[in-house]
Order: sequence, then structure tokens, then C-alpha cells
Amino acid sequence: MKYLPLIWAALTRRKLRTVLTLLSVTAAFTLFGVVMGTDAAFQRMVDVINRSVVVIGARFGGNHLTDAVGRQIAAMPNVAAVSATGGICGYHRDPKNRFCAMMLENAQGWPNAPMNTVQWAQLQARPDGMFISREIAAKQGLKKGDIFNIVIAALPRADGGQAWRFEVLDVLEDTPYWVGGFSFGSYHYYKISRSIADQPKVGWFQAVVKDPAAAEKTAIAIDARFANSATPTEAISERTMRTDDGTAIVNVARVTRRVAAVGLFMILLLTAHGMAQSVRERLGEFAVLKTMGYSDSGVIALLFAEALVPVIGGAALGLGLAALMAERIPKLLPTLYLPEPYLSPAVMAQALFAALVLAFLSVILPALRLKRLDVAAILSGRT
Amino acid sequence: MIFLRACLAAIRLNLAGLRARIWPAAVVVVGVACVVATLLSMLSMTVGLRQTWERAGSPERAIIMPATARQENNGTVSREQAEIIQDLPGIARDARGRAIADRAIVTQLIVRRRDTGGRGFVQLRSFGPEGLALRPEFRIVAGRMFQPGKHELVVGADAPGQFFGVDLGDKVTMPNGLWPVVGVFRSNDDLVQSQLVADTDTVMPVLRKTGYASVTVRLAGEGALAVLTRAITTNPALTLRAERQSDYYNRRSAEFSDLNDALVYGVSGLLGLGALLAAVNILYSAVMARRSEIATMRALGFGAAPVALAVAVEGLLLALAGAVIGAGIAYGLFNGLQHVSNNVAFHLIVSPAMIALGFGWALAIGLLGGVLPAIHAVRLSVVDGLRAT
Repeated sequence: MKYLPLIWAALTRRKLRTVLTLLSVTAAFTLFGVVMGTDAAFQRMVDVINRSVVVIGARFGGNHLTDAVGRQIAAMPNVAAVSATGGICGYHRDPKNRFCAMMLENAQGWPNAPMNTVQWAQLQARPDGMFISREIAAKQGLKKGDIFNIVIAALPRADGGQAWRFEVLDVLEDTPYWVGGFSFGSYHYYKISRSIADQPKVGWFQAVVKDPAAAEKTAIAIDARFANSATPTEAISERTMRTDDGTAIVNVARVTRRVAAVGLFMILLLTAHGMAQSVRERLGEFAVLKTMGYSDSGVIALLFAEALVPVIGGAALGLGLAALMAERIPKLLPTLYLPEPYLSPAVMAQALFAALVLAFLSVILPALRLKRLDVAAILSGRT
Repeated sequence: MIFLRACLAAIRLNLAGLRARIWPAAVVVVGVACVVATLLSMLSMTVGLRQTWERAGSPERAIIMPATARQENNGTVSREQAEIIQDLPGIARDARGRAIADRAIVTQLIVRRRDTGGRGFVQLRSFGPEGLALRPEFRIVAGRMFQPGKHELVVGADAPGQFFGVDLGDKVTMPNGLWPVVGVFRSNDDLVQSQLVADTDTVMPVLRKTGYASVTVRLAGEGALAVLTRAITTNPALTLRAERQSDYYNRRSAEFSDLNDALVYGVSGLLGLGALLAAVNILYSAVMARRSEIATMRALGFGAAPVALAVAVEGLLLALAGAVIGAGIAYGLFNGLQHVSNNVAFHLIVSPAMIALGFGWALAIGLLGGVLPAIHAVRLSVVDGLRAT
């Protein structure tokens, strides 16, 4: 406790320097928070993926899986449930305003759709019903009970038109799994709206396996079964699919993490230099402290505490700023469905650790210097 | 004149003292080098990727797709529509009077990636009879071109490095069996160079496609696009839209470039801010450490301006040194390196314009960092400064 006034005096001696150090540490930790937070958000996306989900699509574009394929998959060992799925993409109101939705067959095959039993029953009872997330509702200007059209050119309807009519059954909360929001319609509607010839054509299947550990094996078994059929399949566990597709894009997180490291290094350099400078200027003071009986470790602890205040303060400010910016980041970059940076406890802990290391490294050299201080020489002015 | 000489003398004195302040100076240099190196290395990636996309487009060609499609395979162009396009005005014609219009199928084949061993997608694109007339940049560099009617493929020079099983002599799994890769082509280092190419009429029934992803045409000349567009929009049988091919690829690359740019400038901006504050801090310390030196100069008759200028110039020079190092690192490490993003190979580029941008940032940091300390240096009391030890 008795050290506190000393630390405060040291910090306020060069106010500008303290403020500048604080600000540059803040800048570094804002970057740290955004980068590591985005990383954590991507990790959370992978973590929330249900390990028992296998996605089965057509191996070749232009080929369509059919209802029959789904029935055969459902009968295979380790498969608990299968749901046919159709993807629709078109525009709503304005040709530039894209609206995509997934048309789902049943709850058993789609555990990752955030709807409860009642809502599933509603969806199956109303063919043209749709559940949308808050984010989609805001983006498309829709609310519960609204009736709207999606114009889809690529999916011919039996009536020859391109407009698909929908009604918003309810607006649901967004979840971390569905980055960018979700909209779910009924597969039955997707099926019966198309011509008789097209009705058996399925977009893709989603299967749920009984033993998640064997999900990959089941995927291979499904592909083997249909390899020589008219519609070869491409089955893959959802987890593997997400990781594979994620690494296909130049790993933005990986690149920016390196950048954050460079930033921290730069700030370390600055803080270390500031500390060294401060110690050099106040050698006389430290000599007095030692004369008065302060131990080496006491003086060094004082120095460490002095470094810690702007570093921890800057780290806290930086993470705070990152948290404030988090909500805006996905909106700034709407094309890539970037998740909102997630400042998880782990990220906070990493930041605290980095701040401690930063403070520690920046006082090592000055501390060594203080330890070897020639008290008599300093006090007599013979530096 | 005297003022100028005073300035020069002050600057020289300042720089002569730099040796004594070598560590603080080094901190500024390294800080700026970090900023410039990160800015350029991140930019090299985004610029390289964008150029690979944009090189695929030519202002002399137009791509025709369904009116509502934003990219190939958002809907199809039917055979009937493709026949009508053949006769539209505004399209260049070859020696035999045939329209240089090429119908394409585009699909993805599933392959194994070399980097992770995971699932990757290689684009399969098709050329019709006019494919080569349309694309002068396309040339076979190994093997031969595919023969129409035969089940064979040619591969872009950048694809085999990314994927297993698509090199010359390999056999690629297609719905009706294995198709050999009979040739390797280069295509102006654009994104097609990461794709497979086959014959349109041969591949279409095999993939059970009933329509084309797009029809690309060579425009007849200036203003031809307007003529073509008018012909398309006034024909009720065509629910299509023609877009200049260069515009198409610029638009497509902007979809991810905008994001990348925001990321690059956001991250570099924050780093730059950190470096700026560091520079201010260190130049301040430098001024404080040289209180007596500065006071002596003032006592000798140096004016306020030369002293301030000398401090500012020091900041600038240190920043410049940092920029040289940072740009050197970025250029040496990244220029020409090959990367893969979303199954498209591209080369990182550190261009002179980007280096100039890096220098601009460094100079801004040096200037902004030097101004406050320079003012501070002038405001110091000469008497106090002389007393300070």
C-alpha cells in the first residue's frame, strides 16, 4: 500500500509520456481484441457444429439426387434420420436484393435448425410458411405475419412463374451457428411447387448418425453405395466440410493473427524504451530509495508496478473498444458473413497474459540496471 | 539564405547527435518498419488476388447470362436463346462470318487439395468451337488441346500445384468414367489458369446440363455493347443481360476485395496509430534528453524555426529509414510468392505504387510524430535548459 503514492508520483511525473504509452497500448490491444475475438468466433462456429451431422450432395453439378437416394440412405447402418433439403436463392422486391432460404423436410434430420417442436409443426402445416431470424427480418424489412415473394429464376415452378410466395410465421433469435442469419421454409412446398418431373429432385440430404465417431466412415459408406449409380453422391461430415471450406479461403484469421503479433512486438519495443528512459532520468531517485533501505526487489517491484499501470489500463481500454466495435464489424463487411468478434474468457485471459508479459519484458533491462546501481556514485553526482 | 544555412546546420547538428541516441532512434525505425511491412504484405495478398480475377476479363468481350444472374450458374441460357444470340448485332465475326460467341458450361469437380489433403473444388469450364478465337491469351504449353467429341480435358498451369490428380497424364473422375488430362495451358496468369477446360458439346450431356452457364462474345468494336444490349432487351425471347467481361470480373472480385481492403486498412491503421504514438513519445524523450543541447543552440543564436525543423526532419528521416526496411522486408518475403485462395492460385504483388503508399504512411507517421516534439523543443526555456545537466 505504501508504494501506491510512489507509483502514482512516477506516473504523473511525465504525464504526456504515460498517456502516450497508454494510448499506444490501447491501439495494440484493440487490434488484439478484434483479431483474437474474430478467431474465437470462428472457432465457436466450428465448436457448435453437431458432430453427428453428415451432408450428402450430388458428386457432379447438373446431377440431382432423388427421393429414392434419401430412402436408401435412411436404411443404412448408423443412420438415425435423413432430411431432404432444398436451397432457394432469388430476390425480394429489388433484383439486387438477394434472398436465400433453406427448405427443410423434418426436424430429425435438421437438429441444427433452431426451431422447437411447435414451430416445426407450424412449418409443416403451412406449406408457404417461413421462419426467419432477426437479422434477416431487419435486412429484408419483414415482420411476423408478412406475406412476400421471392423471385427465383433458376428453379422452374410447375405454374411457369418465378415468384415464390411466403408468409413469415415468426421471427426467431439469431444463433452463433447461423452467421448472417437464417430463413427456413418447408421442403414440402419446395417439392410440390415444381413440375411432376422435377419433384423427386432433391437439393441435398442431411443425415444424422447414431455414433458421431463413425460419421466420417458412414459418409464413405454412402459414397461407396452410390458410386456406380446414376447419381453418385459426395457425403462429408459437416465438421470436416466447414473446416475444409474454411481453409480454402486464404486464412484471414491466420494472417491477421501474425499482424497482431507484430503490433504487440512494436508496442513492447515502445514500452520497454519508455521504461528505460524513465529509469535513466530517475536514477538519483532510485539511489535515494535504496539508501533509505528499500531492497533491490522492492525497487524492481515498484518499477514493474509502474509499467503495469499503463499496460493493464491500455489493455482494458483496448479490449473495451474492441467489444464496442464488435457489433459493427460484421455490418461493415456484409459480403463475407464474418462472425461478430467474440471476446471469450479465453481471449480475455490471453490479453491479460500478453499484458503481463509486455510489462515484465519492458522492465527487465531497466531492472538489471537498477540492481547494479552504484548508489554512492549516483548520489555524489558522478554518473 | 542565412535562415536556410541555419536550418541545415541545425539539422546536421541534430543528426550528428543521433549516434548517442541510437536506441531510441532504432525503436522509431523498427516501429515504422513494422507498420510498412504489415501494410504491404497484407496488400500484396489482396492486390494479387484481385489482379488474378481482373485479368480474366477483357473490355473487348461481353458475357451474356440470365438477366437476374449475378454470376455464372445463377440460372441458365437455353439452347434456343444461345442460337438467337448467334445472330445478334454488335458481335464480332470470324473470317467465315460466324459470330465469335462461345457457350460455356461451368461446374465444380471435387478433388483433394495438396495443402491440407482435404476436399477442394476445381472449376471445370468448357469452350465451344469459338473458344480459342475468343481468347487469344489462351495457349497450350504442354501436351495438346482436347479434341471435341473425345472425353478429354486440358488443365490450367496453376491447378496441378493445388490439387492431386489433375496433372498432365492424370485421369479425372467424370460422371461417365475417367477423362485423361491431355494438355496444360496458360492464360495470362488469370483465374482460368487454375481451372480445367473441356469441350462444351462433349461435356454437356455427360453432366446432364440442359442449358449454358453463359455465352461470351467478342464485341464488334466501340459502342457494340450498347447495340448488343438493345438487341437483347428488345427481344422478348431473351431474358438475358450482356455485361462487359472486364466489368463482370471487376464486380466479382470487388465482392471479396472490399472486405479484404477494409481488413488491411483497418488493421494497418491501428498499427500505424500505435507506431505514431510511439514516434511521438520517443521524439519527445529525445527532445527532453537534449534540453541542454537545444538551449545551447538557441543561446548560440539559432532561431526557433531551424531548431524545430531539425527535430521534425529527424522524425521524417527515421520514418523513411523504417519505410525502406519495411518495404524491403515485404518485397523480399512476399513479392512473386504463390498463394491459393478459394481454389484460385495467385501471385503476391508488391508493386511500386504499393511501396509508394507505404512510404506515404511512413512519412505521415514521421511528420505527425515530429510536430509536437518540435514545438515543445522551441518552447523550452533557454535558461532552464542550460542549467539542466
